[in-house]
Amino acid sequence: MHMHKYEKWWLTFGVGSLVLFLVIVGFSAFHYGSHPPSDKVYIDPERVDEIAPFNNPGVHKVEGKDWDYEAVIVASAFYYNPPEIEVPVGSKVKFIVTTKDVVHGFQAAGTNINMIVEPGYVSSYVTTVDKVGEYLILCNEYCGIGHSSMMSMLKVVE
Amino acid sequence: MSKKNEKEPDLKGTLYSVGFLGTFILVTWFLAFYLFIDRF
Repeated sequence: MHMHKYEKWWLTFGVGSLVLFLVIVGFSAFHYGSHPPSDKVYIDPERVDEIAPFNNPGVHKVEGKDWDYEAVIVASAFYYNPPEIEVPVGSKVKFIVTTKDVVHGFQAAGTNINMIVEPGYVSSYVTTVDKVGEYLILCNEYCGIGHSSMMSMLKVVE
Repeated sequence: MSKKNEKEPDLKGTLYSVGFLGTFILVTWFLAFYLFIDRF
């Protein structure tokens, strides 16, 4: 088969890019352990208030785990409980979120914290909060008439 | 069948245009990736 040499260059470039991106994705998955924010944990959405840890929403310091704090958040139409999360800068935080009613989003603007929260499931994300600031948490899954006012605040303090 | 006598088409413009597009895609991809790495 005859192929123009420029075509060969372009195919090499294309295949090379593909390999590069797969290596980056593989490295981030297998070396850094990134994965979708799903816990493979199921919860009865009707009894969220009775089931630990969601019977006590808020920020809790924990010992003996890979992270320093657990931020337990319950989403429901149209607010987050607690309405404000405060964590010290440099700490490793696990955000654990579920919903009592419909599908909600949980996104802290300007960060990589961004998950879908589905009734019956628990979503979580572990990260080290290394920049002081106030980050608006908002719902990015249309959940009903009050969707646009569904928000919370993540405060990273000294 | 006179394949040996066929002239190579001039594909320089094509190479430049796909090269430009490929570079643009790569650069923007790495900018977005940097944003992802930089944020917590």
